[in-house]
Amino acid sequence: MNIHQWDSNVKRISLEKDCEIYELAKKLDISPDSEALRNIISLGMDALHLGVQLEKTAKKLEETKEKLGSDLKEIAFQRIALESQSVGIRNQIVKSYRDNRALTMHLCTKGSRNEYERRMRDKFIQKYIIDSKLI
Amino acid sequence: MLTRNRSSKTKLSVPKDLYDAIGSQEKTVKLVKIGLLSLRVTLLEKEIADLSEKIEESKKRIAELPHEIESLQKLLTEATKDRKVLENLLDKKKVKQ
Repeated sequence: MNIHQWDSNVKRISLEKDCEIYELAKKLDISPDSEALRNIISLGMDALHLGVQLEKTAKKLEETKEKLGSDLKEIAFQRIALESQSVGIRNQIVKSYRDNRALTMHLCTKGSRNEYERRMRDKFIQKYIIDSKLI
Repeated sequence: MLTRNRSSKTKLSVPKDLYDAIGSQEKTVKLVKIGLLSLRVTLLEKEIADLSEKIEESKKRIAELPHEIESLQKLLTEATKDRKVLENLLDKKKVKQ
């Protein structure tokens, strides 16, 4: 780091390209204005007593974040597989119910020969015409 | 806060009153570094909390899904059986006619 020039109301301090501050600011996507710098310095004053501990904490948190990210990816694969299976079966049910509804309506146009046929017809009317909106 | 010039150097633009209050370049740089680290720690804690929440949410859903799939499978099996009965009833009508 070198010292630099004074503009009217600003002191410029040059940092090397690979400077830690530059990397941190880049990671944090800090906007390049003096007001942001005031806030950062204010945070620095509040946390001054933490010093080296902050670096260790940040490193540990980076590792934890990386591990959790990898865990989440693995869990997401399991979830996607199960969700796809669920959606696939649900689609088959929708199609089956639609077909059964059409067959039931067709059946309604025919007369029933016996008690069994009447019972089945009523059951299917209830299930595929009256209650089918539940699916 | 940061600007870059053609020689690939990055510059901190510190308001003069702030620089004067701090007193030196070294102290200014140290405060900026600690401030950025403090902010980084806060953001990391937030990101970790978000990730943990997403993991818990997914675990909960993964535990629910097998039961949901089982219920759907039962419904599908019943609908398939019903279809056979319906087709059978309609075939009988055809034969009768």
